[in-house]
Amino acid sequence: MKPIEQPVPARFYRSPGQVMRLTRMGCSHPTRLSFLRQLLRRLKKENWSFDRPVWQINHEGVGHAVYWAQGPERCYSLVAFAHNLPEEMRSDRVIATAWDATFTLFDGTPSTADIERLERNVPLQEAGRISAKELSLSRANRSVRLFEYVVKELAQGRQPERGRLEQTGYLMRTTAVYGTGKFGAADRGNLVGRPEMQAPFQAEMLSVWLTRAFTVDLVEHLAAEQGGMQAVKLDPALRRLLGVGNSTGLGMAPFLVRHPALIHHWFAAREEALARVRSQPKLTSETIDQFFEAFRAAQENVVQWHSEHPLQVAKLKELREGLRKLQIFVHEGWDVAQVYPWDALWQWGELELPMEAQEALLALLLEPHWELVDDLGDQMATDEEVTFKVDGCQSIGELRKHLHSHFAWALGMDYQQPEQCARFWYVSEEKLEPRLGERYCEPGAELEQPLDIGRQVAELCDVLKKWSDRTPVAHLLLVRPEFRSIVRRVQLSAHYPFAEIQENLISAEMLPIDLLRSKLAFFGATRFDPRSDRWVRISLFQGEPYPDELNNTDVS
Amino acid sequence: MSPENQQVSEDFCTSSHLWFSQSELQQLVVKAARGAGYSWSDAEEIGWAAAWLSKFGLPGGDFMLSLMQSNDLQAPRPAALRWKGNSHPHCPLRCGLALMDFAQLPEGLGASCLVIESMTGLPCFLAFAARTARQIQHPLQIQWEEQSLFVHEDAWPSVEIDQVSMEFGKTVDVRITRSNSDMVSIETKNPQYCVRVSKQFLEQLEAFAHQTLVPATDLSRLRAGSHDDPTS
Repeated sequence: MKPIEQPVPARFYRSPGQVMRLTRMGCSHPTRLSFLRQLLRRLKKENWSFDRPVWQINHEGVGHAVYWAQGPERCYSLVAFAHNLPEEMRSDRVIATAWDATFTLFDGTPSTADIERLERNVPLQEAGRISAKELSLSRANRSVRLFEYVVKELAQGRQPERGRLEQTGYLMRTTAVYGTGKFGAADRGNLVGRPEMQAPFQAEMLSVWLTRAFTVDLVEHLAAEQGGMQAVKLDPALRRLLGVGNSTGLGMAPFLVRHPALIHHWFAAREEALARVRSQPKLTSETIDQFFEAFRAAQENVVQWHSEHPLQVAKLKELREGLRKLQIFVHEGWDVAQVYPWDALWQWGELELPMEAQEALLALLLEPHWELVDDLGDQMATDEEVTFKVDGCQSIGELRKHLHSHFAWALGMDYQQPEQCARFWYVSEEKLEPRLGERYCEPGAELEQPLDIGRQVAELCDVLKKWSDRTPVAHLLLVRPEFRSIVRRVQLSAHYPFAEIQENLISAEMLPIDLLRSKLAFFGATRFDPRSDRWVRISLFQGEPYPDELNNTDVS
Repeated sequence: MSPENQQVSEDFCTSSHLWFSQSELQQLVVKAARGAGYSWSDAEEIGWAAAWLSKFGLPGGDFMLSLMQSNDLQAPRPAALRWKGNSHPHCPLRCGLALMDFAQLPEGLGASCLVIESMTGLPCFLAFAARTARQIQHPLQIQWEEQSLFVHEDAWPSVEIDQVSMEFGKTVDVRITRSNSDMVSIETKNPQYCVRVSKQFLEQLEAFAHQTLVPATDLSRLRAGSHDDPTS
């Protein structure tokens, strides 16, 4: 199979109107283009090496450690601080002030002075300051039910039960991973010219991956402290079952709205990948074997994926049923010798599978086609500065045309109806956390954040009724400057069709967890487990190799 | 290690100032501008301008704070060659945005140059002039009183930005000219991504930004997930 050279015919693409709907985004699955997969492929391909040069953790599990990742040109160090957190202070909320462990990813190798500086600031998280020498700031809490159990078992010379590891899936979960520019950290501008940092969220992913190694090292250390000679290390096969948990709330949702050009690149790359696979006129024995291997992994994953939230319970039921139907079809109904066999499978899936399983099928189709799709990872970043502009010469008529072509989804709603503007996004005074309020029963709507894109578009459309088609947009913005940002988005949509989530984000029906799942799937998150309609837990790197295994593991 | 990083490691937080990342400053100024009463659209532009100025070594946050505290500034009435002054000084934000929007229209730069009369807040305007240069893909020369500098088509300023005197509160006539200089001959100033912010100005920006925040209630805390079981 060779990389694609000709443009893919339009019939193999899904439209933005089909893709950018919350119901579908809320069924997203990680793919081989997900950011953590991109990271591991690069580390493996470039033969990065890893070490733990510092381990100063005492018998109570308090102290610090440094994990070192050396690439072909630069090295990065995870500096981890382990704390003794009283039980009553353990909270996953962003408003917490203490954690079991805190971390930063350092650019290079930290000196003793750097460690001292970081020790004064990193444990404080938002209340401290880091510098342009740091690329991330994060913290994690122990999974109490699993962490103590694993320590106890290892201390007594036993391996923990596989089922218990699978059930929780992680020893610690991060409750915030701050990246670019936060609290003084390096900006993307500092990282220009570093290929390893060009794909989105690579510093954050590297930080979490090294954090995963730290969590295992910490339980083995505590087991050795408690069990002495009797203690054993965690079996590598069991260790693989563990990822890093993540507990996240609404904080990451506004990102998807505030970065339209970037989001376009994420979705456009994924859709291009799907189209490339669908447009393959025939398949090979290698790709079909790898497809079935990926299918088996997906079937195993869904068995281990649990949630008690009613919405996710229903989705998991759909996914299990869908995968069962797919299993039958690929063995009994799919003609692999036909022209465009992958497209035939996809089209069958669109007709026969629930949406949850359709999106799982998308991930499965990409999996064996690494030669065809992996280069698209390079297209998932963009310089947003370039798109921060308005074309003042554009005529109102042209603007109106774009508005009706790309925002029809927003224009059919009556935003005066209470159910269409039931919510408002705001930033809480308490720790600056994004939240979603009920407009008619909570205070603060006058301080609404501008995430109501649909409503803003409708207002612009209304205002334009009084303007002639030939007038340049510059004249409109001279007298109505408040419309500049929405005019920019409308103009952007002509070139970036996947830039907008095509939903009313202030409606009573909107489910914030759909936004979260979509973004987390691009990260590479698995085991999506909502705790409410705006609060979820997930796992990162579960099943993936550890630093000491990377060179002997196929991550392609 | 770059000299910039060296400086940060020695001195990244003192009693008088903090080092911010450029994006951090930008976000703070957006919130502050919104808190000061600007629309979200204007606030975004003010935040961008603060970041641009800071990137090239000027106190962007301080300048934008001055803008937020300015009163009675007027929007321009774009016309070919000259945007005439009126009873109050021209607003640098409105002039800057209009320059970008009208740059390629008859009321804008036209074939040669444009004079904007009686404008205050020159540093703020300069940021938008730079973006105009990038938008029209042509260097611009900015002149006022006896001073001059260039903005490159990559939106980078010429090195003269370190030497010129720019008082935010001074009202000046500004001449913007499509430069005939070979772009290679314009020596541009390199950007920096760490921004030194004085605590005094930071407090004022944060006070404005605070106006955008909604006090938490028990209901909002509950909905944000505080019922999640931390012990599991």
